[in-house]
Amino acid sequence: MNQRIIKPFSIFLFCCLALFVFSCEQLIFDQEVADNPRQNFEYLWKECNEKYSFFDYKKIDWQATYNKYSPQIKDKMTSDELFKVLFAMLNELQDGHVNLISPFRSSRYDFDLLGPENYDLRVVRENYLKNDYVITGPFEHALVGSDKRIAYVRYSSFSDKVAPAYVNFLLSYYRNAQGLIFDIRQNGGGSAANIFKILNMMATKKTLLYNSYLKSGSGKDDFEGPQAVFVEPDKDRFNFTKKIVVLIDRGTFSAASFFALGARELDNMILMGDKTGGGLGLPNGGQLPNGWTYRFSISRTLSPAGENFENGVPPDIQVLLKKSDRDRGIDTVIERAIEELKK
Amino acid sequence: MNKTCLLYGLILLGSLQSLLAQEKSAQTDYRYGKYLGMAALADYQSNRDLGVSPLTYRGFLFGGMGELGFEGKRWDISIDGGVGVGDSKVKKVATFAAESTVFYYNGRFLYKFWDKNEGNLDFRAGLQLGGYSAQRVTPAFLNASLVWESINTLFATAKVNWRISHTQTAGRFLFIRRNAGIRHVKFSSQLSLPLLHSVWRPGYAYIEDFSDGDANIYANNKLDFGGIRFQWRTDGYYYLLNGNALRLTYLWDAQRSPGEINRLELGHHQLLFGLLFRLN
Repeated sequence: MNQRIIKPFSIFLFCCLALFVFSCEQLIFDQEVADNPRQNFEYLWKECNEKYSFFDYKKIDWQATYNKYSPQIKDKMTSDELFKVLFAMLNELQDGHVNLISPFRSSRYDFDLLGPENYDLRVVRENYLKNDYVITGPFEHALVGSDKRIAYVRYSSFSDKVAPAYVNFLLSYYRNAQGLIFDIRQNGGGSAANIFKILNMMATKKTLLYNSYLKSGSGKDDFEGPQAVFVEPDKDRFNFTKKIVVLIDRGTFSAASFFALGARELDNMILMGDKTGGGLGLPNGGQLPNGWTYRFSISRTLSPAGENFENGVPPDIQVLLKKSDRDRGIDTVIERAIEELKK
Repeated sequence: MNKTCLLYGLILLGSLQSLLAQEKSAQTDYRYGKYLGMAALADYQSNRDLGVSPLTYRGFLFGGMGELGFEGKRWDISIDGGVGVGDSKVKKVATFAAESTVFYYNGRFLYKFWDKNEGNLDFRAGLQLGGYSAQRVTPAFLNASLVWESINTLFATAKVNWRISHTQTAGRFLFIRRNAGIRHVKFSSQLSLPLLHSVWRPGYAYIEDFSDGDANIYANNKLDFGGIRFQWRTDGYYYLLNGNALRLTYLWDAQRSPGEINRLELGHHQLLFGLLFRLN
């Protein structure tokens, strides 16, 4: 190659190299947050302080929480010790949608232990579903009651995908039943999309279910919304005209709680059992300077009347599982639902 | 990845052959005129999305760019677009990865304000529209794992071109035959400073409100103006005797979105190897 080209080409390469070396990313990138126990604690506390959505409702003084846990942070503490402090701090939020996840352990809040146990899988399987129950998609169902005139449908997780056709089949299959029990006790939630695949088949008219508000600023009352959420009867649905009793308990959480909140607004539905575990704030996700990940609620959902049921959607009829019934293989809540549907 | 590399290799080889096949054309100053370009892209990306993490994810994106342009004695106009795909990673207690698909698109309108030595050295300035849209998937961020963002900037751009020519004699370099003619080479350096910088990305809550059962990732995206972005680009052109050219480009593109809490910081070091086909 000619010298007249090699020289400028060398200059060109030098310019490229200079650009690469001196491209001043410090102008764009702030300094990395240090990865030490103090910075991880401060970062998590600040993130919650600016974005968590239920401080006022739960009457949590987050600054007092800081004052309580900050002295427990030491420069030389182990990862496990740090995790325990952060775990305890997050549990002050009393929210099942709050988790801290590290490679060696995950934190949780046991919302389902806030009330008495209200569901016994063995009792339901042995004495209600028995051996002749039908499985349709994620639903297990059978006729129950002494005269087998009440439909019982168990849906154990909103993570299990629902097709509207499944729901339509159920309603059509039990068209001659006196009513339907829809059991979402111990249903810990999953996909919100499934709420509408079910309710759009069960609702009889367009109804406002709830209003959702998303955090929009660091102030405790900085929310945008509402996003009004409606249920609208599917035009191809089977017109099921009987009452539907929805069974709930403390283990009914997140998407299942949203379902219960919506069911409250529908004329053909009755909520029965114990109040839900809540979880009506949508959880986000994020990462600490040390790589651990976290999530916490970043929205709030209110009933059309403006009630906040984050601590649990109450039943229309409270029924608790009696130990004496349970010992005899009887589910008190299902029996009460049968009674209600036979009225 | 291997199939992609093979595909790129074949395209590059095919294009190179057709490019060289035209080397026998007449001797004219083909440095000016319309051209169609295609380039292979390697992009070293650094990104820190403070809405979800204080950590900087780094990694290579690979892809390609296409360009249609005109370089005249006065005007320099071009539009280009392309895509890059790859992973960015950060190593902490574990290695966390973000999968990115990035779309680049630009438009440049420059006018020559000054020249020297019969145009061998010139200075052009004007406007440039710089666009960048990306989808990133970071499973570690749980419900905030999927983000779609679009960054669009109107730049004031200044460019210096340095053209060098010499007459070469016929000969052979290794197995490559060299025809006699005038060989042109050009070097250019271009700096772009932001006039208007906009960022469309997740708002304060970061996630969208999916309580209605709809997972629309764009629903909580907000348009913000402000922040800062720089682009600095250096190109080297080696013109073939028929006016087609080989181009090597290094580009540094860095931006910082407005705001503090959910700020996005991005840095790109791009290396492009391109083939420019003369259109007239």
